Amino acid sequence: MDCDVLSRYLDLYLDGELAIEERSEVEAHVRTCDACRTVVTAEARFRAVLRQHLLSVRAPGSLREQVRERLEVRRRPALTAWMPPLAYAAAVAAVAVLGYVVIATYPKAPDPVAGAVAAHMAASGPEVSGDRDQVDSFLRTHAPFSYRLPLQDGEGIRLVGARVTRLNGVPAVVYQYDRGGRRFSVAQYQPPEGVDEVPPRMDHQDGYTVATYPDRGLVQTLVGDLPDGEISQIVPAAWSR
Amino acid sequence: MGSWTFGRRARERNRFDIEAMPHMDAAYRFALSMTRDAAEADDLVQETFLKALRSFDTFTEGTNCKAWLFRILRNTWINRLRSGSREVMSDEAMEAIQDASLAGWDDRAFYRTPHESSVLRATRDEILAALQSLPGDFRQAVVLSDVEGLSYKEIADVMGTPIGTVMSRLYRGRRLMRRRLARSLGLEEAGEDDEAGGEVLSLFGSRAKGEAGHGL
Ligand SMILES: [Zn+2]
Repeated sequence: MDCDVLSRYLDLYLDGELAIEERSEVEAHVRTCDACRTVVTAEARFRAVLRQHLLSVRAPGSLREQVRERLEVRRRPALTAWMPPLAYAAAVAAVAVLGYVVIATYPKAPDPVAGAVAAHMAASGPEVSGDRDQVDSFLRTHAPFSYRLPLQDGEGIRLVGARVTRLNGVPAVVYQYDRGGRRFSVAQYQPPEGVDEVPPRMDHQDGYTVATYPDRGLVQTLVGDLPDGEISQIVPAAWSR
Repeated sequence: MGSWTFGRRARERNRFDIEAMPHMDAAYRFALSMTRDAAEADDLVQETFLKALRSFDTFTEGTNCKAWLFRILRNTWINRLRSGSREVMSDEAMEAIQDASLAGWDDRAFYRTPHESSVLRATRDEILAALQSLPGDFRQAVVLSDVEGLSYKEIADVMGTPIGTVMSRLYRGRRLMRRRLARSLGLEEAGEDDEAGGEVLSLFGSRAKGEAGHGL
């Protein structure tokens, strides 16, 4: 190899595009030729400077946030269409707002969360009041699907009632829980046909924290004015999934 | 329950977070190297990541996810160029301009002079300005290779060109960039040939809308 050939191979060499034999030819020449060694070294150093300067250009934090937010919206679960009428006047506004957002994002894919919020906010009482056993025996004859009590009692959590209802057309059981005097509810329903995605997610709607997560073939939406951290403690299995 | 599988999508989502999300800085740099406009780069990156999530099942595990994102990003940008009034210059036209601009330039002579150490002390802004003065396709090739470390094959895939075109863009782009940097640092006198090429280049460079002096 001579100096002219090396000039032609310079980029390929520094870009790591040479085969081993060609590489060793270049290196053999560079070891013996001061002029070429100067060029190769200078070019390599220049590239290092260029790279170092350019790598300091980073995506702005605001962009990072926007991308994350938009990806989250994309990832929300797709469920079959629901339409009002809604049972509970108090909830109409909230559902209309969320329904609009969800429908605008997913023309064919509304969302169970608004329904769960509506059920949680409903003025009408549960169809059964009582402890775990009473709820269980009520649901054995009334539940529209193969239900499963969503949470274990304990750690201050107590089942106090349940109601069979429809959340925007989807048959559901809404369980009422008590935690230190505060109520929260868990809506449980079957995923509609054709839906293959219900990732766990946390929403905030009308002052409620709303956690939706899959559980053994069913979907559960927990609604309450509990902090996110408490909710993750209540449903740890779903979040670690 | 049939089609109702909870695991697959969740796994895919985790994989996206692990494989794609770490490349946001690189995507932003590459977007800037195309748009040379921060707001437009921002917008382009957002659209790219949404598209990437939608089509993540077409990403082949074990291949370079950064290059895959770059390809989506560049295609998105090209579509915008086509849908606007912006024109895309042919390779031949660009190479002709480059060759005019490179007349009289000798790397080897350049690197053998004491200038070399001054070039290495160039500030980030001086280097960015020299890079920015390159025509888009040359600038992108230089960024993809020298900054992002893509192979010629990966660059060819991102840019949708043969490897030979990548090599010629890199060759001309790098040398023109060094010459412009040397000139901006007062290490080389402007020659007539280069002035002619430079004018066409600056026209080309400001062709796209919003190409303010920001970014790569
Ligand atoms: Zn030599």
